[in-house]
Amino acid sequence: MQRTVLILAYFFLCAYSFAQQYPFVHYTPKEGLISNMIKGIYQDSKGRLYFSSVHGLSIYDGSRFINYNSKNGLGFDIVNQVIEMAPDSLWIITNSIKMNCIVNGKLKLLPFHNENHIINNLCKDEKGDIYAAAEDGLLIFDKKDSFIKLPFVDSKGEDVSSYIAYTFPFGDYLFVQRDASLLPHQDNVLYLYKKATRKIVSETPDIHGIQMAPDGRVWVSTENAIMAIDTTEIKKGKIVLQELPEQYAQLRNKSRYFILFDKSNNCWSGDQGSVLLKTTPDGTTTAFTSISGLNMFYINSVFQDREGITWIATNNDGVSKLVHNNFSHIEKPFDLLQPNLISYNKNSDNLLVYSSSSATATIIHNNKKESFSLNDPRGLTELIETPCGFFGTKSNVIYKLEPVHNVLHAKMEFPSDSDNFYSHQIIDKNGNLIATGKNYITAIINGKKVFKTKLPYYADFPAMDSKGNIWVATRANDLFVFNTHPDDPSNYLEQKLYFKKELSGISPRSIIIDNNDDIWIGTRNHGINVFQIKDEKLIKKLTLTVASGLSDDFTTHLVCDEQNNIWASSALGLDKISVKNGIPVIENITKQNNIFQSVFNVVIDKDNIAWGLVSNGIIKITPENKHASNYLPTLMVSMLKAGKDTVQDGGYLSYRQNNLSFNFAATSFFNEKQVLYSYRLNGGSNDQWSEPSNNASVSFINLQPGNYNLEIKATFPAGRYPDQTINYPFSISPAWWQTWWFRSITFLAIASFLVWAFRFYYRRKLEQKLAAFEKQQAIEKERTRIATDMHDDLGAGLSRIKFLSETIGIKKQQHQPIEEDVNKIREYSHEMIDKMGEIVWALNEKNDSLSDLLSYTRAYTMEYLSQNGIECKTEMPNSFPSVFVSGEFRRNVFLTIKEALHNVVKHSQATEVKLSISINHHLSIELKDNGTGIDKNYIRLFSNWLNNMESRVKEMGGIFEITNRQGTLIHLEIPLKA
Amino acid sequence: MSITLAIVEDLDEVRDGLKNFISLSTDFKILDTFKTAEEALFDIPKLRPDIVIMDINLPGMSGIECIKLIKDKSPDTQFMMFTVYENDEKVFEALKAGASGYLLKNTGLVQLIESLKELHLGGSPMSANIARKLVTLFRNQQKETANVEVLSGRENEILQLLAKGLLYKEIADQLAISVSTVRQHIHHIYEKLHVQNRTEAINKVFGRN
Repeated sequence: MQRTVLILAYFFLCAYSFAQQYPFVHYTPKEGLISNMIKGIYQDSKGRLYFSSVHGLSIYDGSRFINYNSKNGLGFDIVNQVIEMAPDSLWIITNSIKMNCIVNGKLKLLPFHNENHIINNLCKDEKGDIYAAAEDGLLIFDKKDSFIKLPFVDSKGEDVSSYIAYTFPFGDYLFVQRDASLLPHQDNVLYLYKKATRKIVSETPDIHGIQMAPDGRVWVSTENAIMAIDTTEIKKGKIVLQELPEQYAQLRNKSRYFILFDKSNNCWSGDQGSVLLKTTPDGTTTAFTSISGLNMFYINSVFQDREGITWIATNNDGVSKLVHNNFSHIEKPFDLLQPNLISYNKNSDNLLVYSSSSATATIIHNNKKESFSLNDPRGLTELIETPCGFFGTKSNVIYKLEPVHNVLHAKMEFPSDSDNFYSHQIIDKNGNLIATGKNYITAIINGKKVFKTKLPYYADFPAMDSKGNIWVATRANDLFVFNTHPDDPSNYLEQKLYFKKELSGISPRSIIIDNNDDIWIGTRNHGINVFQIKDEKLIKKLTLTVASGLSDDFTTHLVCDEQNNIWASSALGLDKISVKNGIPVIENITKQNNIFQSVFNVVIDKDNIAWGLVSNGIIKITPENKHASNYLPTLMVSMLKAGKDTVQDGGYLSYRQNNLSFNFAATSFFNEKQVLYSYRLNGGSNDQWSEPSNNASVSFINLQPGNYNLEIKATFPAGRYPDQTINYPFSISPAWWQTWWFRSITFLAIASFLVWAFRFYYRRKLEQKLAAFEKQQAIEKERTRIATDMHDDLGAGLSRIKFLSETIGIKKQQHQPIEEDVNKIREYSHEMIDKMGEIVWALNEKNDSLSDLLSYTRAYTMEYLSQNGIECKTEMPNSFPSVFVSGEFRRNVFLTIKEALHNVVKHSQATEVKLSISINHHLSIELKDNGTGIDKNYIRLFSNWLNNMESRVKEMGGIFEITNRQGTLIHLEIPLKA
Repeated sequence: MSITLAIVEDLDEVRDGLKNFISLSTDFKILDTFKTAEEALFDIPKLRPDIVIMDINLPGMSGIECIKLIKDKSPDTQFMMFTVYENDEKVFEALKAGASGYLLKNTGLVQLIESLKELHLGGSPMSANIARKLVTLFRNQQKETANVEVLSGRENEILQLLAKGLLYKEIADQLAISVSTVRQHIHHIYEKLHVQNRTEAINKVFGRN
C-alpha cells in the first residue's frame, strides 16, 4: 500500500538542483607563485610543475616554488611555453628573441642564432620535427642551432606568415592559427598546412579556438557553437566542420567558448565569466562556478597532471588545484536547510534526509527526490525507512509513520519503559528494525510486534554481521552477539556470545562489522579497536589512534562500504580506513578537502557513494576512479646551499662548504604538505633516521671533511605511493691544514719544539747550576787566593824572620856579629806589615771601585819612588767612571805595578818615572822610566817577575808590553767590565 | 857515614839558616844548596844525596814538578818537603809525586835534625788530613783496578786511625807497636802511593786506563 503512495509521489529531476562546493586549493604569490597571471602549466618527466606567466616562470616541486625572471637569468619575463626536449632538459620559450633552457636544474641561455624570431608556440610532431609559431612566421628547427622560416602563403597567393600564434601537428599536416587581434582582417582563419609540400592546403574562417584531444578528436570553437573537425577529411587535406556527437549535445550551442582538453580526454570549456564545464568523453558534464569554489576569472589553461589532479590557471587569481572532484560539499542538499538525520534503505535504494527545523524528510532515488513533511512538529531523533515502513524515534517511543499526500503521519506507537532511551536503529536481515538504547535492545518484528531484552547499560549502535547476527557494545564495555529468530518472535533475539574483559577500559561508542566479519569498535578517546572472533574467542587485531593517523580518538559512528573501507566519523572529521595487506591506511577525507567540521553520520548508497552529515549540510564522496597510472613521484634534492651560496654541482665540496642545507621535494601534489620526510646522514655523528616531518629541508652545521651519504625518505599521505628513498652522496675535502701531510709536519714541528724547549729548559737549569757552581768556585778560588797570598807573602817573610832569629841564636853561641840579621828582621817585619796592609786592602769590600784602585796605586807609586829617591810624575784623568772592580782585579793590577816599580828601583838606575793612566773601555797604564832599559840578555834573570806580571795581566784578559825607549816602557791594557 | 843532603830553597835567609844549622851536626853532609828548582834539576841526579829538602813554593818551577822529574833519575834520594802548612793541598801533591815526608818551616831546628834522621831510617810523618786523603784515594783506586798495589792490613789500620786524628803515640799504644814502626808503615804507604802514582802515569802513557 505504502509503496504505491510513494510511486504516486511527486518526482523531479534534481540534476544541478543543489550547489556543490569543490575543495579547490589556490596558489597565489602568497604561497610563492611568481605571479597571479598564469598563462600555461607544464609537467616535466620528474613530475615538477612549470607555471609560465607574464612575470616569469615558477617551478613547483611540491615543497617550494623556484622562481625565475629576467632578473635572475631568464631571457625575458613573459614566458610563452615550456617544453621538455630530453629528460631534465627543458626549453623555456620567452616572448623575446632569447630562449632559455634548464638542464639539471640550472638555467642557461640557449646559444641559438635565433635572429629575430619571437616564438609563441612550439610543437613536436611524430617524427620529432620541431615547428614553431613565431611572430615572423612558421618555423622549423634545423635540429642544430637555428630556426628556418617556412613559406606560408594562402590560397590567394598572399604571404600570411606574420603573427602566427599557435600550431600543432596532425599527421602529415599542421594546424596553424594567427593572432587575429593583431591583424587588420580579424577573420580568425584556421590553416591546414601540409608539411611535405610546405603549402597551405585548406583554410576556414571564424575559428576562435582549436584543440586536439589525446584520443584524436579535434574540436573547434566557432562564433555560434563548439564543433568537431572531421578527422578523416583532414587526412585528405580538408577542414570539414561537423556537429558534435549526440552525447555532447549540451555543448553544441556554446558560442565563442574556449575549449581545452586534458590528459584524460576531458573537455574543459567556458565563457570566461560564469561557468567552467568539464565534459568527460562519455558526455557527463560537471559545471564549476564561483559557487563551486572556483574563482571565475579569465581562465588561461586547464591542465591535468600525471596524478590526475586538475590545475586551472587564471589570468588574475593564480592557479587553482582540484584534487578530488569526487568530493563535494552540499550546503542545502535537496533544498533542505540544516539536515540533521540521514539514512539509507538498501532494499529500496532510497536515501532519506530529514531536517527537523523544517520538519521535512526528503527521499532521493535515482537522482529524483520526493519530499514529505511531518505532521508532528516535535523533532524526531531518528527517522528510518524499512521494508515495513518508516519509523521515527523520540526519547523512549518508536513511532511507525505512514505517508499520506506527502505528509508522514504517526500511525502506531511502541512505547518502551520509562528508563529506556532509544539511540540508533538498523534494519536486520529479516527487514526488522533493531533499536538500541539505554538498558534495552528492542526489535520491532514485521512492523508490529515488539521484542526487548535487557542490556546492562547504554548501547549506542546495533551492528549486523554477514550471517545476520546482531552485535551490541555498551558504554560499560559489554559486547553482546545475538541470533535472530524470525520464526519465534517471543524469543527474537537470543544471546549467543558475551565478552567483557576484552573490552576493558575502552568505553565503546560505535560498532561495525566489516565484510570479513572483523569487529570495529569506535570508542570514547581510545581510538578504534579492531577484533576478530576465533573459536568463539575475541582477539584484538588492531588499535587505530590519532598516532596512526586518525582524525580523532573519539569515533562517534562507523560504517563499512562495498570495498570493505571503514568510514569513521568523529567530531574532527571523516576518515576512510582501508586495510591493505594487513596494514591500515587512513585517509583524512574531510581534512584533505579543506573541510574542518564534525561529521555525525555517514551512509553508503548502492553506487558506493558516501553521504556524510555535517552541521551545515552534506558531504558527498563518489568513489574515485583509480587511475591505472603508473606515476611515481620523484623524490629529489631540489637545492643544496653551502652557507648562503647555492651549490650547483653537488658531490664534491671544499672544506669551507661545511654548513650545508638541503632542500628536497617529492613531486606528488595530492596533499603535498602532508608528505613526510625523514633523512639520515651516513658518515656524520648521527646515522639514525630523523623523525618524519613535513619539513622538506635539513641543515648540517660544521661537517667535518669526509665522505657522506644523505639518505632521504618520503612517505606519502594515505599510503598513495610506496615510500621513496634517494641517496645523495657527497664529500667534503679537507682543508690544507687538515691533510695528513700538514698534520704530520705540524706534529713534527710541535714535537721538535717540545724537544727544543725541554733542552733549552734543561740547559738553562744546567747553566744556572753551572753559574752557581762557578760562583761557588769563584768563592773557593778567592779563598784559595787569599790563602796563597798569605802563604806566599807572609809565609816567606815569617820563615825568613824565623830562620834569621835561629841564625842569631847560633851566631851568638859562636860569638859572631848579629847586627845584620837583626836589621834584616826589622826590614822583613816592615815589609810584612806593608804586605799585610795590601792584602787587607785588596780584601776590603769598600775599596771595590776603580778610583779606589787607581788612587791607591798612585799613592803607593809616589811614596815608594820617593822613598827610593826617584822623581815621579803622574798623569791621570780628572774623573773616573764608576766601575766596580773585583778584589782579584785590584790585586792583580796593583801587584803588577808594584812589581814593575820594584824592578825600576832595583835594576833600572832611573832617576825619573812617569806613571800615566787613562781609561777608555780599557784601563791603560804606562810606566816609563829613564833608566838603562831592559837588556835582552839580562831579561832571563828577571824572567820570573816578567812572567808573573804577564800572567797576572793575561789573567784579566789584558795585554802586557815591555819595550826599551830611552829607558823602559811598561804598558798594560786591561779591559774593564761594565 | 853521614847523611848527604841537598837543599832547594829560594829564600836566602832560610836556606842559609838551614845550611848553617845542619852543618853543625856531623851526621849530615850538605852536598849543595839551590835557589831554584831549575838549578837543582840537573845537579841532584848527579849528586844523588840521601835526602833533598825541597821548598814547594819556588819561583818558576815548583818543588813538586821538580820531584816528579828527578825522582826516577835518583831513585835512592828521599825528598823531604819544606812547607809552611802541613795541610796544604800541595803537600799531598808532593807526596803523590814521590816525596816521603815533609817538614814544617816552624819546626824547631833540633826536631828538624831528628826528622831528617827518622826519614833516613825509613820513617815518615803524616797528618790526619793527609791520611784521610790517602784513605779515599786508595779505596777508589782499589775499586777501579785490580792490579794496584794494595795496602796491607796494618797499613790500612794505621791510615784509618790517623784519619781519625790520632797521634802517632796513641796509634802506637793502641796497636802495641813503637812510634818508629808507625812511621815506617807510613813510609811504606808513601812508597806505595808513589808507585801507584807512577803506575797511573805509565797507564796514562800507554793508554791502558
